[in-house]
Amino acid sequence: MNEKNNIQRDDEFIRKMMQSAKDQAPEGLKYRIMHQVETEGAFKHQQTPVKLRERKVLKDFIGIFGLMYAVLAALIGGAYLLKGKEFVLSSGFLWTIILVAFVFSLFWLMSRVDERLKDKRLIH
Amino acid sequence: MNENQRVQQVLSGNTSAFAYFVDTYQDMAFTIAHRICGNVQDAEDVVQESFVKVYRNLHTFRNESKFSSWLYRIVYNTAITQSRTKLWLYDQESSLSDVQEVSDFDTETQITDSERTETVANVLRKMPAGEALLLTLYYLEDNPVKEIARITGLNESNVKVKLFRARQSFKELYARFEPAVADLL
Repeated sequence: MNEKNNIQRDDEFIRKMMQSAKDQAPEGLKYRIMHQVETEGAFKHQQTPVKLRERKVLKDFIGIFGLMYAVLAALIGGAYLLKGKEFVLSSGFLWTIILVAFVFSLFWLMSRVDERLKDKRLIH
Repeated sequence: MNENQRVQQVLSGNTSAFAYFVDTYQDMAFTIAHRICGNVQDAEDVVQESFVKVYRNLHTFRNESKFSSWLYRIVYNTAITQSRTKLWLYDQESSLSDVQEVSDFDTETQITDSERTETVANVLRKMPAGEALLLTLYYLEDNPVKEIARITGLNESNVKVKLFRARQSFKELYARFEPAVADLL
């Protein structure tokens, strides 16, 4: 009990003494830190749109061509089940497949051109 | 606005919101760096480097720990790396004997606040840097042992033992600087 009181008393004493022990950061330090942080921040923000744009391109690519492959799979599957193997291997059906792929590729091309034009408009 | 919201503000591109963290923590960060490095110039560089590290890695900050603990850990590591200090290896006896001659100077019973501040600063300078740092973290910021363990990378029981030693050293050194106070301890 007595020892506990001593520890508490020491604790209070040191706490009281330590209140004056906090150093003050030098005057210009905050300015130096913020200057460096703002420089880093400006650099970081220049980098961000490039990353975002790359992510958008990838997202569009996966979206358009993913849908294209899904449509082709459904088309081939349906043709095979309804008309049989010969029809799927016929040149007429191959042209249909090529047409679907062409339409989706064209759509991809148009979306890229559109993006490029938007970027140009933003720059100017 | 709480600290998490401010963190989100900075992450969303509002760089000037970071000034809040600099304002709030620069003094304590500087105190920690100063205890470890032992001089003002190095401490300033450490604090600046630490805040920039914090800004760069703010996206990795998780709310599991306090922002201050996370920052102080970075300051601690940066200071240790920069000053190449081995904080927990020291010869306690030599640090105490260095003060023997100083004890003869002060014999006043009443000491003023500024004298006390000076004495405490002297005591902390004479103490092993690790112990002075533990006292700073424990008494100035009221950090619990668990947080101090996180900041310093020591385990909790180790912090308790070192904190106990640090209190003893502080009392002993203080009594040598201010013999009049020794009777009160």
